[in-house]
Amino acid sequence: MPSFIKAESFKLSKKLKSWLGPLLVMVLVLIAFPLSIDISQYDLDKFYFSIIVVSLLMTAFVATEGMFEEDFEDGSLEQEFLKEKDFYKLVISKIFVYVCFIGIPIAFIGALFSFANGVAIGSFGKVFLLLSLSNLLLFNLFAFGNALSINKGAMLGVLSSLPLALPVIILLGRAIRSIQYGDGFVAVTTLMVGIGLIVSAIMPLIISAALKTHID
Amino acid sequence: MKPDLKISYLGHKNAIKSYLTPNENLELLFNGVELNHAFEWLNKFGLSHVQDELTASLSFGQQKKLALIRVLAQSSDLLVLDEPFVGLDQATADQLNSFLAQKISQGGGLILTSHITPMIDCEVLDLGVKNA
Repeated sequence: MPSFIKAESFKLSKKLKSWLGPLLVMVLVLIAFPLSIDISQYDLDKFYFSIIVVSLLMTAFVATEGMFEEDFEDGSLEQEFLKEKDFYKLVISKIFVYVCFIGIPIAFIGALFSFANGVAIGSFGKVFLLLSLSNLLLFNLFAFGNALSINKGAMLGVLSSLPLALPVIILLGRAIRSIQYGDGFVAVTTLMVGIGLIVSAIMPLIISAALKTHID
Repeated sequence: MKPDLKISYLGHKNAIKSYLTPNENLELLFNGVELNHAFEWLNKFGLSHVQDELTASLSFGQQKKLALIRVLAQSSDLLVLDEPFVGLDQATADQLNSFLAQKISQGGGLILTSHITPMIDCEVLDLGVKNA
């Protein structure tokens, strides 16, 4: 497993566009949105979280686009299948690296902007934790969508993974309200950690099976 | 087939990363003794002068040589090669022929498809298409 993580980290670090692009998109959306409305009319800190959540969804989707496609196109997946007979280790390593390189920095940016828009400084850690957990879930789901759509057209992946992302968004919304109103944060976070662990263990199995169908 | 049979495979896709240099590609694939073998093959194939250039900027033949190094540098019981001679210059084709002959003489297995007849002593299954 460490060799997979090392290899995937190396590959992603060399693809500047793949990891820096989503971060820039996140920053751009978070800056552009308040500029595009007359913020003096609204309590921005009340609804700015919604913008962060939508940006998170969008950037997670963009970040995972082409996650497995490149390996499929250049024949690396075939080679991996010969060695390992399945893709579980590859998938779990890839998702881990993507979450570390892109997901956590995106969560940091989101948390930073929520602080900059009126959220108490004491909530920074809570927001960062929630956004990181959400990204863990979203990256798993969108990786599944990407695995499905490798050579079957992008729509299959979008249609199958976007509805799965809605419960994550609802859960994140609930968690964020718990920060705003100071009620039930631990319970919601524990739920998200639990779901995150289950999804992180099971989703790579499903993705591995989906990738096998492209290779067989 | 033995479950632990080590197979090296070169398909019609090269399985190399175009955004990495040849050196980085090899470091991604191999370590230890196999990495040293890989660098030896890089020199034998005359790719040492482009080892730090992006693979995307290499010619078709150079990329094919790099893909072949994946097969040649790793120890395996069976080689499965799909058109390994396409895009190779004569000197490299000779080196490959010599490697394959040595592999067979050492008891290794080889299955290859090729439109270019390999200069090795092996059983040939002719799938030539007859004219209608």
